Amino acid sequence: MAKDLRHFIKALQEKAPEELITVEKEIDPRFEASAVLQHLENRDAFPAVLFNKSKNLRGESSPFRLMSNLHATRQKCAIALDLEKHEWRSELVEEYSRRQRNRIKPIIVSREEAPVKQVIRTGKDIDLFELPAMAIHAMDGQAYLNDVVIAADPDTGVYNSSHHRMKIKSKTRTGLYASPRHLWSYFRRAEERGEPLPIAMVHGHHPAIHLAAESIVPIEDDEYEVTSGLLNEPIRLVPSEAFGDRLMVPADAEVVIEAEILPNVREAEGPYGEFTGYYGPSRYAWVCEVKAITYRKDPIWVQMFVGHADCSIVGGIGKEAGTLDIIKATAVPTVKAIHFPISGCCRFISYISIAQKAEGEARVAALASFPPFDELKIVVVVDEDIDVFNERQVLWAVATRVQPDDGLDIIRHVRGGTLDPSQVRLTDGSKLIIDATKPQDRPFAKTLDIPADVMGRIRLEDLLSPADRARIGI
Amino acid sequence: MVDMFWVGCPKCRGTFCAATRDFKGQDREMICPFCSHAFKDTEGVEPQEGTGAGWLKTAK
Ligand SMILES: [Zn+2]
Repeated sequence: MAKDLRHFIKALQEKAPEELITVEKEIDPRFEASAVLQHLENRDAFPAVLFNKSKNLRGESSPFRLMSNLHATRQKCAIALDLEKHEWRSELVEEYSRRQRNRIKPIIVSREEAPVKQVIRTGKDIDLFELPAMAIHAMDGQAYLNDVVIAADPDTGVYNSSHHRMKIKSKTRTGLYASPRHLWSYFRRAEERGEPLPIAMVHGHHPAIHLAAESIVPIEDDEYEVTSGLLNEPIRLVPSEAFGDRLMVPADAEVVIEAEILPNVREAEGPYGEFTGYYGPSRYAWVCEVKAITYRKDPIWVQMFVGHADCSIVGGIGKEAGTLDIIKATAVPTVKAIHFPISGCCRFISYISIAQKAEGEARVAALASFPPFDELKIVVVVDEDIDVFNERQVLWAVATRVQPDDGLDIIRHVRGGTLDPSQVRLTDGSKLIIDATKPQDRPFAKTLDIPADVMGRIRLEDLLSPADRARIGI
Repeated sequence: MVDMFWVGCPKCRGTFCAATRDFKGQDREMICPFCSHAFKDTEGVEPQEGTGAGWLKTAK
Protein backbone atom coordinates (compact mmCIF):
# COMPACT_ATOMS: atom_id res chain seq x y z
CA MET A 1 0.00 0.00 0.00
CA ALA A 2 1.38 3.39 -1.02
CA LYS A 3 2.08 5.91 1.72
CA ASP A 4 -0.72 8.43 1.94
CA LEU A 5 -2.72 10.32 4.56
CA ARG A 6 -4.51 7.13 5.72
CA HIS A 7 -1.17 5.38 6.19
CA PHE A 8 0.03 8.30 8.33
CA ILE A 9 -3.15 8.39 10.44
CA LYS A 10 -2.70 4.66 11.14
CA ALA A 11 0.95 5.24 12.12
CA LEU A 12 -0.13 8.00 14.51
CA GLN A 13 -2.77 5.76 16.08
CA GLU A 14 -0.20 3.02 16.62
CA LYS A 15 2.85 5.03 17.66
CA ALA A 16 1.42 8.13 19.34
CA PRO A 17 -2.32 7.93 19.94
CA GLU A 18 -2.12 11.09 22.05
CA GLU A 19 -1.17 12.97 18.87
CA LEU A 20 -4.59 12.51 17.22
CA ILE A 21 -8.04 13.50 18.44
CA THR A 22 -11.40 13.43 16.70
CA VAL A 23 -14.36 15.78 16.92
CA GLU A 24 -17.73 14.20 16.20
CA LYS A 25 -19.94 17.27 16.48
CA GLU A 26 -20.42 19.04 13.15
CA ILE A 27 -18.35 22.21 12.82
CA ASP A 28 -18.27 25.09 10.40
CA PRO A 29 -14.91 25.47 8.59
CA ARG A 30 -15.44 29.23 8.72
CA PHE A 31 -13.63 30.10 11.97
CA GLU A 32 -15.09 27.28 14.11
CA ALA A 33 -12.37 24.76 13.22
CA SER A 34 -9.64 27.32 13.88
CA ALA A 35 -11.34 28.26 17.17
CA VAL A 36 -11.02 24.62 18.25
CA LEU A 37 -7.34 24.62 17.29
CA GLN A 38 -6.74 27.94 19.07
CA HIS A 39 -8.41 26.65 22.26
CA LEU A 40 -6.12 23.61 22.15
CA GLU A 41 -3.07 25.82 21.57
CA ASN A 42 -4.09 28.02 24.51
CA ARG A 43 -3.78 24.85 26.61
CA ASP A 44 -0.40 23.96 25.06
CA ALA A 45 -2.00 21.03 23.22
CA PHE A 46 -1.14 20.42 19.56
CA PRO A 47 -2.73 17.12 18.46
CA ALA A 48 -3.81 16.54 14.89
CA VAL A 49 -7.56 17.07 14.84
CA LEU A 50 -9.92 15.06 12.63
CA PHE A 51 -13.34 16.69 12.38
CA ASN A 52 -15.57 13.81 11.34
CA LYS A 53 -18.46 16.10 10.38
CA SER A 54 -17.98 19.42 8.70
CA LYS A 55 -20.14 21.91 6.90
CA ASN A 56 -19.14 23.24 3.50
CA LEU A 57 -18.86 26.91 2.57
CA ARG A 58 -22.58 27.03 1.80
CA GLY A 59 -23.36 26.05 5.40
CA GLU A 60 -24.55 22.59 4.33
CA SER A 61 -23.37 19.26 5.76
CA SER A 62 -20.36 18.16 3.74
CA PRO A 63 -19.35 14.62 2.71
CA PHE A 64 -15.76 15.72 3.36
CA ARG A 65 -14.14 15.20 6.73
CA LEU A 66 -11.77 18.00 7.77
CA MET A 67 -8.32 17.56 9.29
CA SER A 68 -5.74 20.03 10.55
CA ASN A 69 -2.68 20.35 12.82
CA LEU A 70 -1.11 17.39 11.00
CA HIS A 71 2.42 18.72 11.56
CA ALA A 72 1.94 20.69 14.77
CA THR A 73 4.54 18.73 16.74
CA ARG A 74 7.97 17.45 15.79
CA GLN A 75 6.87 14.11 17.19
CA LYS A 76 4.26 13.77 14.42
CA CYS A 77 6.86 14.74 11.81
CA ALA A 78 9.23 12.12 13.21
CA ILE A 79 6.54 9.48 12.78
CA ALA A 80 5.96 10.73 9.22
CA LEU A 81 9.59 9.85 8.48
CA ASP A 82 9.15 6.39 10.05
CA LEU A 83 11.02 7.33 13.24
CA GLU A 84 9.77 6.85 16.77
CA LYS A 85 8.05 9.76 18.49
CA HIS A 86 10.96 10.38 20.84
CA GLU A 87 13.34 10.85 17.89
CA TRP A 88 12.26 14.43 17.21
CA ARG A 89 15.53 16.32 17.76
CA SER A 90 18.65 15.82 15.63
CA GLU A 91 17.52 12.32 14.65
CA LEU A 92 14.67 13.92 12.72
CA VAL A 93 16.92 16.51 11.07
CA GLU A 94 19.46 13.87 10.07
CA GLU A 95 16.80 11.50 8.73
CA TYR A 96 15.28 14.34 6.69
CA SER A 97 18.73 15.19 5.36
CA ARG A 98 19.48 11.57 4.44
CA ARG A 99 16.15 11.06 2.70
CA GLN A 100 16.25 14.41 0.92
CA ARG A 101 19.58 13.50 -0.67
CA ASN A 102 18.22 10.08 -1.68
CA ARG A 103 16.20 11.21 -4.68
CA ILE A 104 13.69 8.66 -6.00
CA LYS A 105 11.88 8.87 -9.35
CA PRO A 106 8.07 8.91 -9.10
CA ILE A 107 6.04 6.18 -10.78
CA ILE A 108 3.06 6.68 -13.05
CA VAL A 109 -0.18 4.80 -12.45
CA SER A 110 -3.42 4.58 -14.42
CA ARG A 111 -6.52 6.60 -13.54
CA GLU A 112 -8.19 3.38 -12.42
CA GLU A 113 -5.43 2.82 -9.87
CA ALA A 114 -5.59 6.38 -8.54
CA PRO A 115 -7.85 6.90 -5.49
CA VAL A 116 -7.90 10.64 -6.18
CA LYS A 117 -9.82 9.95 -9.41
CA GLN A 118 -12.77 8.25 -7.68
CA VAL A 119 -14.84 11.44 -8.03
CA ILE A 120 -14.17 13.89 -10.87
CA ARG A 121 -15.75 17.32 -11.15
CA THR A 122 -15.23 19.39 -14.28
CA GLY A 123 -17.04 22.19 -16.12
CA LYS A 124 -20.29 23.28 -14.49
CA ASP A 125 -19.84 20.70 -11.71
CA ILE A 126 -16.94 22.64 -10.21
CA ASP A 127 -17.93 24.47 -7.03
CA LEU A 128 -15.26 25.48 -4.53
CA PHE A 129 -17.99 26.44 -2.06
CA GLU A 130 -18.84 22.75 -1.69
CA LEU A 131 -15.48 22.25 0.03
CA PRO A 132 -14.88 22.53 3.78
CA ALA A 133 -12.11 25.07 3.21
CA MET A 134 -11.22 26.92 6.39
CA ALA A 135 -11.54 30.61 7.11
CA ILE A 136 -8.91 30.76 9.84
CA HIS A 137 -8.34 34.25 11.25
CA ALA A 138 -10.67 37.20 11.76
CA MET A 139 -9.22 39.53 9.14
CA ASP A 140 -8.93 36.74 6.54
CA GLY A 141 -12.65 37.26 6.31
CA GLN A 142 -13.19 34.47 3.79
CA ALA A 143 -12.06 30.89 3.24
CA TYR A 144 -8.69 30.17 1.67
CA LEU A 145 -6.91 27.19 0.22
CA ASN A 146 -3.45 27.00 1.75
CA ASP A 147 -1.91 23.61 1.18
CA VAL A 148 0.63 22.37 -1.35
CA VAL A 149 0.70 23.91 -4.83
CA ILE A 150 2.43 21.82 -7.50
CA ALA A 151 3.56 23.10 -10.89
CA ALA A 152 5.86 22.01 -13.71
CA ASP A 153 8.61 24.34 -14.92
CA PRO A 154 7.33 25.65 -18.28
CA ASP A 155 10.80 25.19 -19.82
CA THR A 156 12.19 22.05 -18.22
CA GLY A 157 9.15 20.19 -16.89
CA VAL A 158 10.80 19.86 -13.48
CA TYR A 159 8.25 19.96 -10.66
CA ASN A 160 8.08 22.46 -7.80
CA SER A 161 5.93 22.19 -4.70
CA SER A 162 5.31 25.04 -2.28
CA HIS A 163 2.75 26.45 0.13
CA HIS A 164 0.62 29.46 -0.87
CA ARG A 165 -2.43 31.34 0.27
CA MET A 166 -5.30 31.20 -2.24
CA LYS A 167 -8.46 33.10 -1.48
CA ILE A 168 -11.65 31.45 -2.75
CA LYS A 169 -13.31 34.15 -4.85
CA SER A 170 -16.08 32.25 -6.65
CA LYS A 171 -17.13 28.71 -7.57
CA THR A 172 -14.19 28.43 -9.97
CA ARG A 173 -11.83 31.28 -9.13
CA THR A 174 -9.14 31.84 -6.52
CA GLY A 175 -6.38 34.30 -5.83
CA LEU A 176 -2.78 33.23 -5.29
CA TYR A 177 0.00 35.17 -3.59
CA ALA A 178 3.59 34.02 -4.14
CA SER A 179 6.88 35.45 -2.92
CA PRO A 180 9.60 35.60 -5.60
CA ARG A 181 10.77 32.00 -5.45
CA HIS A 182 10.44 29.00 -7.73
CA LEU A 183 6.70 29.17 -8.54
CA TRP A 184 7.06 32.90 -9.14
CA SER A 185 9.83 32.16 -11.66
CA TYR A 186 7.72 29.49 -13.41
CA PHE A 187 4.75 31.82 -13.82
CA ARG A 188 6.82 34.83 -14.87
CA ARG A 189 8.24 32.82 -17.77
CA ALA A 190 4.84 31.42 -18.77
CA GLU A 191 3.27 34.87 -18.58
CA GLU A 192 5.97 36.39 -20.79
CA ARG A 193 4.75 34.02 -23.49
CA GLY A 194 1.14 34.97 -22.78
CA GLU A 195 0.43 31.50 -21.45
CA PRO A 196 -1.34 30.35 -18.29
CA LEU A 197 0.56 28.14 -15.83
CA PRO A 198 -1.17 24.85 -14.87
CA ILE A 199 -1.06 24.09 -11.16
CA ALA A 200 -2.46 21.45 -8.83
CA MET A 201 -3.44 22.16 -5.24
CA VAL A 202 -3.18 19.10 -3.04
CA HIS A 203 -5.34 19.05 0.08
CA GLY A 204 -4.60 15.81 1.89
CA HIS A 205 -1.70 13.43 1.41
CA HIS A 206 1.13 12.00 3.47
CA PRO A 207 2.97 14.75 5.43
CA ALA A 208 6.08 14.06 3.31
CA ILE A 209 4.51 16.16 0.56
CA HIS A 210 4.33 19.13 2.94
CA LEU A 211 7.81 18.54 4.32
CA ALA A 212 9.18 18.44 0.76
CA ALA A 213 7.38 21.67 -0.15
CA GLU A 214 9.49 23.41 2.50
CA SER A 215 12.83 21.90 1.47
CA ILE A 216 15.81 24.03 0.48
CA VAL A 217 16.66 22.71 -2.98
CA PRO A 218 17.77 24.47 -6.19
CA ILE A 219 15.18 25.37 -8.80
CA GLU A 220 16.63 22.67 -11.09
CA ASP A 221 15.72 19.90 -8.63
CA ASP A 222 12.47 17.97 -9.05
CA GLU A 223 10.45 18.17 -5.85
CA TYR A 224 8.39 15.06 -6.67
CA GLU A 225 11.76 13.28 -6.41
CA VAL A 226 12.40 15.04 -3.08
CA THR A 227 8.93 13.99 -1.89
CA SER A 228 9.65 10.41 -2.94
CA GLY A 229 12.94 10.53 -1.07
CA LEU A 230 11.18 11.70 2.07
CA LEU A 231 8.51 9.01 1.63
CA ASN A 232 11.32 6.49 1.11
CA GLU A 233 9.34 5.14 -1.83
CA PRO A 234 8.24 6.53 -5.22
CA ILE A 235 5.27 8.85 -5.05
CA ARG A 236 2.53 7.59 -7.40
CA LEU A 237 1.49 10.12 -10.02
CA VAL A 238 -1.37 10.21 -12.50
CA PRO A 239 -2.11 12.60 -15.40
CA SER A 240 -4.31 15.55 -14.47
CA GLU A 241 -7.82 15.80 -15.90
CA ALA A 242 -7.38 19.25 -17.41
CA PHE A 243 -3.78 19.15 -18.59
CA GLY A 244 -3.04 15.44 -19.13
CA ASP A 245 0.60 14.51 -18.69
CA ARG A 246 1.66 18.19 -18.87
CA LEU A 247 0.78 18.23 -15.18
CA MET A 248 1.08 15.02 -13.22
CA VAL A 249 -0.74 14.96 -9.88
CA PRO A 250 -0.41 12.73 -6.79
CA ALA A 251 -2.58 9.63 -7.30
CA ASP A 252 -2.93 8.96 -3.58
CA ALA A 253 -4.06 12.45 -2.58
CA GLU A 254 -7.38 13.00 -0.88
CA VAL A 255 -8.30 16.02 -3.03
CA VAL A 256 -6.60 17.66 -6.02
CA ILE A 257 -7.76 20.96 -7.44
CA GLU A 258 -6.45 21.59 -10.96
CA ALA A 259 -6.25 25.21 -12.08
CA GLU A 260 -4.48 27.71 -14.31
CA ILE A 261 -2.77 30.87 -13.10
CA LEU A 262 -4.08 33.38 -15.63
CA PRO A 263 -1.56 35.53 -17.54
CA ASN A 264 -1.87 39.31 -17.25
CA VAL A 265 -4.65 39.16 -14.67
CA ARG A 266 -4.27 40.63 -11.18
CA GLU A 267 -6.86 41.23 -8.48
CA ALA A 268 -6.92 42.16 -4.82
CA GLU A 269 -6.09 39.19 -2.58
CA GLY A 270 -5.72 39.09 1.20
CA PRO A 271 -5.20 40.31 3.91
CA TYR A 272 -4.24 36.95 5.32
CA GLY A 273 -2.96 35.60 8.63
CA GLU A 274 0.57 34.55 7.70
CA PHE A 275 3.16 32.17 9.17
CA THR A 276 4.67 35.10 11.06
CA GLY A 277 1.70 35.32 13.41
CA TYR A 278 0.66 38.65 11.80
CA TYR A 279 -1.65 39.58 8.99
CA GLY A 280 0.03 40.12 5.65
CA PRO A 281 -1.64 43.02 3.81
CA SER A 282 -3.93 42.72 0.82
CA ARG A 283 -1.88 42.47 -2.37
CA TYR A 284 -2.61 42.88 -6.07
CA ALA A 285 -1.98 39.24 -6.85
CA TRP A 286 -2.39 36.42 -9.33
CA VAL A 287 -5.74 34.88 -10.20
CA CYS A 288 -6.45 31.19 -10.83
CA GLU A 289 -9.27 29.55 -12.77
CA VAL A 290 -10.15 26.06 -11.57
CA LYS A 291 -10.48 23.43 -14.30
CA ALA A 292 -11.15 20.26 -12.32
CA ILE A 293 -11.57 18.96 -8.77
CA THR A 294 -10.90 15.28 -8.14
CA TYR A 295 -11.15 13.41 -4.86
CA ARG A 296 -11.69 10.13 -3.09
CA LYS A 297 -15.17 8.77 -2.35
CA ASP A 298 -14.67 9.28 1.41
CA PRO A 299 -12.43 12.35 1.26
CA ILE A 300 -10.53 13.95 4.13
CA TRP A 301 -9.86 17.62 3.42
CA VAL A 302 -6.58 18.62 5.06
CA GLN A 303 -5.81 22.24 5.73
CA MET A 304 -2.87 23.79 7.51
CA PHE A 305 -3.39 25.94 10.61
CA VAL A 306 -1.27 28.77 9.22
CA GLY A 307 0.44 31.13 11.64
CA HIS A 308 0.63 28.40 14.29
CA ALA A 309 2.73 25.35 15.14
CA ASP A 310 1.25 23.30 12.27
CA CYS A 311 2.73 25.71 9.76
CA SER A 312 5.90 26.63 11.66
CA ILE A 313 7.16 23.13 12.36
CA VAL A 314 6.57 21.65 8.93
CA GLY A 315 8.56 24.55 7.48
CA GLY A 316 11.40 24.37 9.96
CA ILE A 317 12.58 20.80 9.59
CA GLY A 318 13.55 21.11 5.94
CA LYS A 319 15.35 24.37 6.72
CA GLU A 320 17.27 22.69 9.52
CA ALA A 321 18.31 19.76 7.32
CA GLY A 322 19.21 21.90 4.29
CA THR A 323 21.19 24.41 6.34
CA LEU A 324 23.00 21.72 8.31
CA ASP A 325 24.10 20.05 5.06
CA ILE A 326 25.38 23.34 3.64
CA ILE A 327 27.32 24.30 6.79
CA LYS A 328 28.83 20.82 7.00
CA ALA A 329 29.81 20.72 3.34
CA THR A 330 31.04 24.26 2.85
CA ALA A 331 31.93 25.89 6.16
CA VAL A 332 32.39 23.97 9.40
CA PRO A 333 32.57 20.16 9.10
CA THR A 334 32.37 19.86 12.89
CA VAL A 335 28.88 21.36 13.06
CA LYS A 336 26.90 19.22 15.47
CA ALA A 337 23.26 20.27 15.41
CA ILE A 338 20.87 22.97 14.22
CA HIS A 339 17.43 24.05 15.27
CA PHE A 340 14.99 26.64 13.96
CA PRO A 341 12.95 27.21 17.15
CA ILE A 342 9.23 27.82 17.15
CA SER A 343 9.86 31.10 18.99
CA GLY A 344 11.22 32.32 15.64
CA CYS A 345 8.33 30.83 13.63
CA CYS A 346 10.86 28.08 12.69
CA ARG A 347 12.12 30.54 10.05
CA PHE A 348 13.70 33.72 11.49
CA ILE A 349 16.05 32.33 14.16
CA SER A 350 18.45 29.40 14.19
CA TYR A 351 20.54 27.84 16.92
CA ILE A 352 23.66 26.06 15.69
CA SER A 353 26.06 24.02 17.81
CA ILE A 354 29.61 23.36 16.68
CA ALA A 355 32.71 21.66 18.01
CA GLN A 356 34.82 24.75 17.50
CA LYS A 357 38.40 23.89 16.58
CA ALA A 358 39.63 27.38 15.71
CA GLU A 359 38.66 30.96 16.46
CA GLY A 360 36.21 32.28 13.89
CA GLU A 361 34.43 29.06 13.03
CA ALA A 362 31.26 30.20 14.76
CA ARG A 363 31.01 33.20 12.43
CA VAL A 364 31.75 31.03 9.40
CA ALA A 365 28.96 28.62 10.35
CA ALA A 366 26.56 31.54 10.80
CA LEU A 367 27.50 33.21 7.53
CA ALA A 368 27.09 29.97 5.58
CA SER A 369 23.54 29.55 6.87
CA PHE A 370 22.13 32.81 5.46
CA PRO A 371 22.32 32.47 1.64
CA PRO A 372 19.98 29.53 1.10
CA PHE A 373 17.06 30.98 3.01
CA ASP A 374 16.10 34.67 3.01
CA GLU A 375 13.87 34.62 6.10
CA LEU A 376 16.69 33.58 8.44
CA LYS A 377 17.60 36.72 10.39
CA ILE A 378 19.23 35.81 13.71
CA VAL A 379 21.78 33.03 14.14
CA VAL A 380 23.05 31.98 17.56
CA VAL A 381 26.10 29.72 17.51
CA VAL A 382 26.85 27.70 20.64
CA ASP A 383 29.34 25.05 21.73
CA GLU A 384 28.53 21.38 21.46
CA ASP A 385 27.75 21.10 25.19
CA ILE A 386 24.59 23.16 24.56
CA ASP A 387 21.44 21.37 23.37
CA VAL A 388 20.08 23.53 20.54
CA PHE A 389 16.63 22.01 21.05
CA ASN A 390 16.60 23.39 24.61
CA GLU A 391 16.00 27.13 24.31
CA ARG A 392 16.78 27.67 27.99
CA GLN A 393 20.25 26.22 27.47
CA VAL A 394 20.81 28.35 24.37
CA LEU A 395 19.83 31.56 26.14
CA TRP A 396 21.99 30.56 29.13
CA ALA A 397 24.93 30.32 26.74
CA VAL A 398 24.06 33.75 25.35
CA ALA A 399 23.79 35.12 28.88
CA THR A 400 27.11 33.71 30.09
CA ARG A 401 29.38 33.44 27.04
CA VAL A 402 28.62 36.67 25.17
CA GLN A 403 29.76 40.23 25.70
CA PRO A 404 27.63 42.37 23.41
CA ASP A 405 30.56 44.53 22.26
CA ASP A 406 32.43 41.46 21.04
CA GLY A 407 30.00 38.60 20.41
CA LEU A 408 27.53 40.30 18.09
CA ASP A 409 27.74 41.13 14.39
CA ILE A 410 25.11 42.92 12.35
CA ILE A 411 25.12 42.67 8.56
CA ARG A 412 23.05 45.41 6.96
CA HIS A 413 21.24 45.56 3.61
CA VAL A 414 20.94 41.85 2.99
CA ARG A 415 18.05 40.13 1.25
CA GLY A 416 15.46 39.32 3.90
CA GLY A 417 12.03 37.79 4.32
CA THR A 418 9.26 39.58 2.43
CA LEU A 419 6.69 38.75 5.12
CA ASP A 420 8.81 39.86 8.10
CA PRO A 421 6.73 42.67 9.68
CA SER A 422 9.84 44.30 11.17
CA GLN A 423 11.53 44.69 7.79
CA VAL A 424 10.98 48.22 6.49
CA ARG A 425 11.93 47.62 2.86
CA LEU A 426 10.39 44.74 0.91
CA THR A 427 13.48 42.59 0.39
CA ASP A 428 16.24 44.62 2.08
CA GLY A 429 16.83 43.41 5.63
CA SER A 430 19.63 42.84 8.10
CA LYS A 431 21.11 39.86 9.87
CA LEU A 432 22.38 39.32 13.42
CA ILE A 433 25.03 36.79 14.41
CA ILE A 434 25.44 35.97 18.10
CA ASP A 435 28.60 34.03 18.77
CA ALA A 436 27.85 32.34 22.09
CA THR A 437 30.77 29.94 21.92
CA LYS A 438 33.53 29.97 24.48
CA PRO A 439 36.68 31.86 23.43
CA GLN A 440 39.54 29.75 22.06
CA ASP A 441 42.34 32.16 22.98
CA ARG A 442 42.02 32.29 26.78
CA PRO A 443 41.00 30.05 29.67
CA PHE A 444 37.26 30.11 30.23
CA ALA A 445 35.14 29.24 33.27
CA LYS A 446 34.25 25.57 33.60
CA THR A 447 30.62 24.48 33.58
CA LEU A 448 29.34 23.09 36.90
CA ASP A 449 29.15 19.34 37.32
CA ILE A 450 28.56 16.64 39.95
CA PRO A 451 31.23 13.93 40.27
CA ALA A 452 30.49 11.51 37.44
CA ASP A 453 30.94 8.35 39.51
CA VAL A 454 28.40 9.59 42.05
CA MET A 455 25.94 10.57 39.33
CA GLY A 456 26.21 7.03 37.96
CA ARG A 457 25.72 5.45 41.38
CA ILE A 458 22.81 7.53 42.63
CA ARG A 459 19.47 6.56 41.08
CA LEU A 460 16.21 8.34 41.81
CA GLU A 461 14.38 5.05 41.32
CA ASP A 462 16.20 3.68 44.38
CA LEU A 463 15.52 6.70 46.58
CA LEU A 464 12.09 8.10 45.83
CA SER A 465 8.75 6.52 46.65
CA PRO A 466 6.52 5.56 43.70
CA ALA A 467 4.12 8.31 44.80
CA ASP A 468 6.81 10.99 44.72
CA ARG A 469 8.14 9.72 41.37
CA ALA A 470 4.64 9.84 39.92
CA ARG A 471 4.13 13.33 41.33
CA ILE A 472 7.20 14.68 39.53
CA GLY A 473 6.66 12.58 36.43
CA ILE A 474 9.60 10.16 36.45
CA MET B 1 7.41 43.40 4.71
CA VAL B 2 5.87 45.55 2.06
CA ASP B 3 4.68 49.00 3.21
CA MET B 4 1.04 48.88 4.23
CA PHE B 5 -1.79 51.16 5.25
CA TRP B 6 -5.03 50.72 7.14
CA VAL B 7 -8.28 51.32 5.30
CA GLY B 8 -11.96 51.24 6.21
CA CYS B 9 -14.56 49.66 3.92
CA PRO B 10 -17.17 52.25 2.83
CA LYS B 11 -19.89 49.60 2.89
CA CYS B 12 -19.43 47.63 6.15
CA ARG B 13 -16.81 49.94 7.74
CA GLY B 14 -14.62 46.93 8.49
CA THR B 15 -10.95 47.84 8.78
CA PHE B 16 -8.15 45.94 7.10
CA CYS B 17 -4.57 46.35 5.87
CA ALA B 18 -3.44 46.70 2.25
CA ALA B 19 -0.07 47.07 0.51
CA THR B 20 0.74 50.73 -0.23
CA ARG B 21 2.57 49.99 -3.50
CA ASP B 22 -0.35 47.92 -4.81
CA PHE B 23 -3.30 50.20 -3.99
CA LYS B 24 -2.34 53.70 -2.78
CA GLY B 25 -2.81 56.14 -5.62
CA GLN B 26 -3.41 53.27 -8.03
CA ASP B 27 -6.52 52.89 -10.10
CA ARG B 28 -7.14 49.48 -8.61
CA GLU B 29 -9.94 48.09 -6.51
CA MET B 30 -9.39 46.60 -3.09
CA ILE B 31 -11.82 43.94 -1.90
CA CYS B 32 -13.12 44.10 1.66
CA PRO B 33 -12.38 40.75 3.35
CA PHE B 34 -15.55 41.04 5.43
CA CYS B 35 -18.27 41.95 2.91
CA SER B 36 -16.44 41.53 -0.46
CA HIS B 37 -17.24 45.11 -1.47
CA ALA B 38 -14.80 46.38 -4.11
CA PHE B 39 -13.53 49.96 -3.77
CA LYS B 40 -10.54 52.18 -4.56
CA ASP B 41 -8.36 53.73 -1.88
CA THR B 42 -9.89 57.16 -2.53
CA GLU B 43 -13.28 55.69 -1.58
CA GLY B 44 -12.06 54.12 1.67
CA VAL B 45 -13.28 55.52 4.97
CA GLU B 46 -11.13 56.40 7.96
CA PRO B 47 -10.09 53.19 9.73
CA GLN B 48 -11.53 53.27 13.22
CA GLU B 49 -10.90 50.85 16.00
CA GLY B 50 -13.96 48.85 16.87
CA THR B 51 -16.10 50.03 13.97
CA GLY B 52 -15.74 47.05 11.68
CA ALA B 53 -16.37 43.36 11.79
CA GLY B 54 -12.71 42.59 11.84
CA TRP B 55 -10.74 45.16 13.75
CA LEU B 56 -7.84 43.05 15.02
CA LYS B 57 -10.06 41.13 17.39
CA THR B 58 -7.46 38.47 17.91
CA ALA B 59 -4.62 40.90 18.57
CA LYS B 60 -6.10 42.41 21.71
ZN1 LIG C 1 -16.83 45.63 3.82
